Amino acid sequence: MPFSELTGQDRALSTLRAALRAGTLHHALLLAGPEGVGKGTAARILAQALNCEAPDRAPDDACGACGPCRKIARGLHPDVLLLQEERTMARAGRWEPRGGKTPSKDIVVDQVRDLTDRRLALRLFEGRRRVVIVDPAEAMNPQAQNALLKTLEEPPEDTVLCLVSSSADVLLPTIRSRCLRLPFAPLPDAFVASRLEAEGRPPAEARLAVALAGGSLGRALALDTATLAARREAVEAAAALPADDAGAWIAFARAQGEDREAARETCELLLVWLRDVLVAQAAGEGAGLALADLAGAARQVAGALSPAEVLRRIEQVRLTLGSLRQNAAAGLALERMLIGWFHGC
Amino acid sequence: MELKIGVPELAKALARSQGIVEKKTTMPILSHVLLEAKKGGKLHVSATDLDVSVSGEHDCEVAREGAVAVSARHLYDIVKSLPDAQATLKKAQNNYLEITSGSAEFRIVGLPAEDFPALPKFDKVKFAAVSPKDLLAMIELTSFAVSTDETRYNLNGVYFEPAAGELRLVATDGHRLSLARKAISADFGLKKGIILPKKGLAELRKLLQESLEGAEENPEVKLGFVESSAVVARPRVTLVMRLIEGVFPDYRQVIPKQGEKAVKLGRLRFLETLRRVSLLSSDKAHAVKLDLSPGLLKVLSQNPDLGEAKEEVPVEYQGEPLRIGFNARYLTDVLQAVPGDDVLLELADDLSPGVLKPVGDDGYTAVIMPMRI
Repeated sequence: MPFSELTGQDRALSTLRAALRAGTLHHALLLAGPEGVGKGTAARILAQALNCEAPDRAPDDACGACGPCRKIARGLHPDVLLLQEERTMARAGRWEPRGGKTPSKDIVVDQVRDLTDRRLALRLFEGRRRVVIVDPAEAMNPQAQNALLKTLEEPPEDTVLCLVSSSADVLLPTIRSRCLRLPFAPLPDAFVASRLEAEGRPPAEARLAVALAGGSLGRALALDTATLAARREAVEAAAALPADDAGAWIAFARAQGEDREAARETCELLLVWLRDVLVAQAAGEGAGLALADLAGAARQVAGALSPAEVLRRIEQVRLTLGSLRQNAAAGLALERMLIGWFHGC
Repeated sequence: MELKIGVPELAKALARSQGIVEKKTTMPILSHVLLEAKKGGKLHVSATDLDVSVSGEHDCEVAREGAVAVSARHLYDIVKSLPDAQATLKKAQNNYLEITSGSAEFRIVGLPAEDFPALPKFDKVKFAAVSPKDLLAMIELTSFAVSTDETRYNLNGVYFEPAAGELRLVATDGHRLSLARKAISADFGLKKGIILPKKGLAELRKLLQESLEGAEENPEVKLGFVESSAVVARPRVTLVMRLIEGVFPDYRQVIPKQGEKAVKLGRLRFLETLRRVSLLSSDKAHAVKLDLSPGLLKVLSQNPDLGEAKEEVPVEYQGEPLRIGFNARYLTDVLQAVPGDDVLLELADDLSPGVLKPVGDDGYTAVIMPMRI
């Protein structure tokens, strides 16, 4: 049964399935949670459950094998409408930007108007319930969000709107307040690791990916071996930086700052590793460390620094992560972090 | 699927679907036609853009039943250029369609028939026969008043309401309203009225015209409704249109009771007068003034940029004088559509809606909101 495809989301799914059983599904849902934890899949299965035609189906699940279920899985069902970034939809041949404009990376107001004024104006084509999936909902620009408000509050009969968002707090409060929020949690690390190992990744690499993915299976699967090795080497290099050689820090910052995404990942891995350093200090030799590959470096640094010093470094990494999210120049941000580490300012 | 069919027959089948398949790309499958070989020597050709679907039935020799969806445009182009009068269509592996005619061979990429949107099952539809002539006349009396404002989608179609022994079609855009009535006793199995979309009506008109021009003695068209669609069937062609969601406003409230001031006017004379006078009214509002006094109707237009026009129409009218403004376009639309030689214009005061009816025929009523002048 398709809902069992999703693991670790019992809280959101139990709400959803209880509503399906009781026939009291809210007409506007906000599936909120980190990226890659199954929100989009849940929206798809919900659409299947609402349109499944298997004779022995449960009211709160889909069979995944009947005609409508297969059509929905392949994005071909005429009553399951998907709204994505204009660029993505144009590339898939499902949307032509109005006035011959270059497709935007947002979900634009024209798309929302086309949905509300044209697609939702007619009755259902073949299904029982119409499902509109907006994924990612935060891609809607403010105009598009405002154009959706009326429909979100009072959609046509037999229509359910599913907003899927990994940063739901960016949405306008007027959008959020009209939706029933279903919180999706980060997946347990053990589950992500087991899925990665089932995909044939070596355990050491899987552990590293889990540490970087922060409970997102989608992100963990997207990390390839070369990326992971590069991030690990970067952390090792940071651990080995001499405190009295500013030239080495600057060289490190310049090398790592070439790609902001990579710099961000390195900082996230540094956070996990610095936590390992603290654990090693507190628990000594027998401590279980998250990053076994970097245990040697962790133990060495644990012996050399005081816990207060490690905490200060963690704080510097956090600040750097924050500024990297806000468009800071990656190289400069890393440089500043290292000055903070070694000069304590 | 394997079948043999005459090329002209197949070309005719595909020509009809060309107008339906979607030009705007929303789902790749919508640019395809569904070919279904059925037992009894029938080929069903279906096309849909999700708003309107057309399915035709054509004679052929079926060697093996089956179905496949292929690109409508490419198949049509191929069929039009085939060298022989006969063609063989055969579905190969991976949904390829092989077309052979004479020494020419084509293999075109198709999609599985299951991917094609499921059309309603026609056998469950409760059909009622209607006269294509009556239905066409009623559609032409109303469809010009349909709103083009996409945000008011419940007005983007014609309201279809069977009521005690008669059928009513109503269309409005908020400024004018057209109501056509006809005694039709057919039972459509509808509990309340439904709204037929503009696009579906255009296809329906085409189909009705075709059926009137056809060779048959007494052409008959059947009309029926399933949950969310209207189905129109004439021999060998079935048209399905998705109904508009929503509630049509209560049109009865809008139609005024008998107006105090009624003027009889020659339809063509009034139409030509309005056309002439409105040449000088503004492009947007098309405003004309009607100045009614005993024995005379003056039609005036004024545009500060262009000038003025005036024409007098003698009328048999003995009531109070009245000045009222109208959008000339709304009047001419009605005058063009109604049958008969004379029309009756009923007015109350300069801010109340005017009513236009053909004289001696209560099958049609137009209500037009006045303009402030």
